[in-house]
Amino acid sequence: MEDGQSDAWLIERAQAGDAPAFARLLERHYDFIHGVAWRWSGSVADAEDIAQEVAIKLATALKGFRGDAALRSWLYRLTLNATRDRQRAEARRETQIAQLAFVHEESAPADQSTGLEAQDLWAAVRALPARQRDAVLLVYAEELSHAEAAEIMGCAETTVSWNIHAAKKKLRVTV
Amino acid sequence: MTDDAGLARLSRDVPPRPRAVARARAVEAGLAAFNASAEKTAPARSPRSLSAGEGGWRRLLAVLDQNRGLVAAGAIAVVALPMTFSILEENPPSRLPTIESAPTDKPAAREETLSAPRKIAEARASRAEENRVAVVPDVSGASDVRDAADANDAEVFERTSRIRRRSSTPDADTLRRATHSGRDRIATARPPAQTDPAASPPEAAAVPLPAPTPPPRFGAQNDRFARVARPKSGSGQHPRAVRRSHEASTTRAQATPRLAADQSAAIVTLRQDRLAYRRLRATIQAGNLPSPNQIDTAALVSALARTAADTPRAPGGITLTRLSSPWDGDGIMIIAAPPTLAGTMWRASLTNAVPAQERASNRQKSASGADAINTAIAILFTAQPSAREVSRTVVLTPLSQTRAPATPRVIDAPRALETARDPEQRFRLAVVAYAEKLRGNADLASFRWGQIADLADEAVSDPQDRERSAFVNLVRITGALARLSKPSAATSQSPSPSPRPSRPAASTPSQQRPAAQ
Repeated sequence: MEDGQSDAWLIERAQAGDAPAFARLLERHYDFIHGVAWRWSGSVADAEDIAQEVAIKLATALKGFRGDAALRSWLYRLTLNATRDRQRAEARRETQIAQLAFVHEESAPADQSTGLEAQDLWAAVRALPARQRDAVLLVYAEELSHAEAAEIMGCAETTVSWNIHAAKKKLRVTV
Repeated sequence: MTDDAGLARLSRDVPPRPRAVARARAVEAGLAAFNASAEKTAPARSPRSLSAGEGGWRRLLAVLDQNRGLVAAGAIAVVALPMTFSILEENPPSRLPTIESAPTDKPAAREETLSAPRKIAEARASRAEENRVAVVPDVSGASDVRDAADANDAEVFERTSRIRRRSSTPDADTLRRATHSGRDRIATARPPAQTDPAASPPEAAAVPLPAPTPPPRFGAQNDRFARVARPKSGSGQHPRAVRRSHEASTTRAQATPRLAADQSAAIVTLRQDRLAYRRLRATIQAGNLPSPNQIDTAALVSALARTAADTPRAPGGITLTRLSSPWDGDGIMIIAAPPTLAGTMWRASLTNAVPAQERASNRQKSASGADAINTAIAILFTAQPSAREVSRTVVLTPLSQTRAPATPRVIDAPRALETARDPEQRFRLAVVAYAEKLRGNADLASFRWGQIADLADEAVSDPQDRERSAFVNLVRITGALARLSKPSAATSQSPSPSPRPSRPAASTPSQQRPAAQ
């Protein structure tokens, strides 16, 4: 670790109630959380909001972290859950205000890539069902193995493979 | 593009660097949540969890905080033990007063050291000494009882005084009347405990208990209260419980005005709607009904006007009045409610009174819409004079058949009259105006009762239409009663048109009042 304090030590201190240790841990992993949220949401503003929600969740959930899994996998799960919750809430809100054709600048298309094809690809991937989208993004965007993705998604490795296979079939049709 | 190579492009998009502001905001929010959860759980910080910079007195405080019990015990021992030793040195145990060694020649000290039962026994004995001198052989039975108890048996005295307090015979005269010959009766009821026969005559020993008052009989209308006061199983209930329940039920019965049978029916109907029921109760109580079997309609109407004036637009505002109908003796209930309550009222209070078809049609209507205003602002139905539940026969619900949204607001009724040419529409408006005027709507102050009656009368095309004729008569009766209840306002109000000749009962208010029902 760059500051000489390992994640395990910071987690132990934070679990004992040490606020500076928690702040240090959060600052260290904020970029990672933000990046994952950005990939899943496709918007910087959404990524910032999701990262903030994850930070709040982390404050209460850290006491339950027992170190069985890697911290990165655990943060993946927290971030993906927060992303899903936010997208569900947005879906409900969009349903309620569907009649109001109000386009906000932050709801502009995702800014991952300027190329038209890449935009289409990202849009198609985000339009996939949640499990398939998670599997594709974890394996191809985050470059994790199927086993690591399975650990994050809480399913078997074969399930990840099947989800990727099904996602590819759908993407062939849509893209 | 959808193969592995194509999907690998997803990893080439590097996430943008997060803004410092967003990072600081997230860390701040996380810290706030962290501190909040830490305060909620209040974890006990062990001294080992303290960081290196938190040594010294913080570590000492943490240790003390974890061992509060030991610290408190130590402090007590340090403070209390020297004080105890100093007290013992100044006053050795041999000098401390005890009950056995207490000086008996000092009354004050003796009073302090004597036990309470012994003190009570001595006081009773001294009082018996005084009473023995003052006793007169031919006193009443009650006095004998008191003297005998004072002289001989403190327990008997306590028992008798307790009984005297509880019973309904508060003085000796009552006891004397109850015992007639005094000593003879008392002698028969003498308790076995007699410790000093010389001090008390043998005939004065106990109190003749009056027989417990049987629970009163209640009428059918007070059945709810009678259920409270009635013993659960024969005479097994304690007299005190019977008396208390009787007093409670009597108090409640006095506070609640008795209602006639048809009024009870209306309340039974409205009881499901708690708010409407309470308001109705308040209205009836404010009317100061003169007798249980006679409804003072004028007082009721004036009370209704006051209630409506106080809360003209209350969300739960509902007014109800009952007027006699001159044609068949049945009562007419007029329920005026704001449109927001209409839907609830239909479902809650008229479940058994409205035909199923009308219920179904009303359920589909919006409670706040124009249809609801037209449909449920006033309802006419009958209540059988002798029945305890509402009749299932609806005489007329003129608004229930109204579908035209001609009056978006009731206060527009007078203006809508000018353009309404349809007799049906005019009749609906008349009913709406009548209901609103009953509620004290200030916008209808210039719209007189007679005008309402004329408006409704125009729609009575068929002479056999008894229901609509009854409504016209009802409006005229209301106008007459309103003039009677407000004599000052009668001068400013033009006289309403004379009632129809076929309804002579509507001519004077005195004839409208129902006879004893």
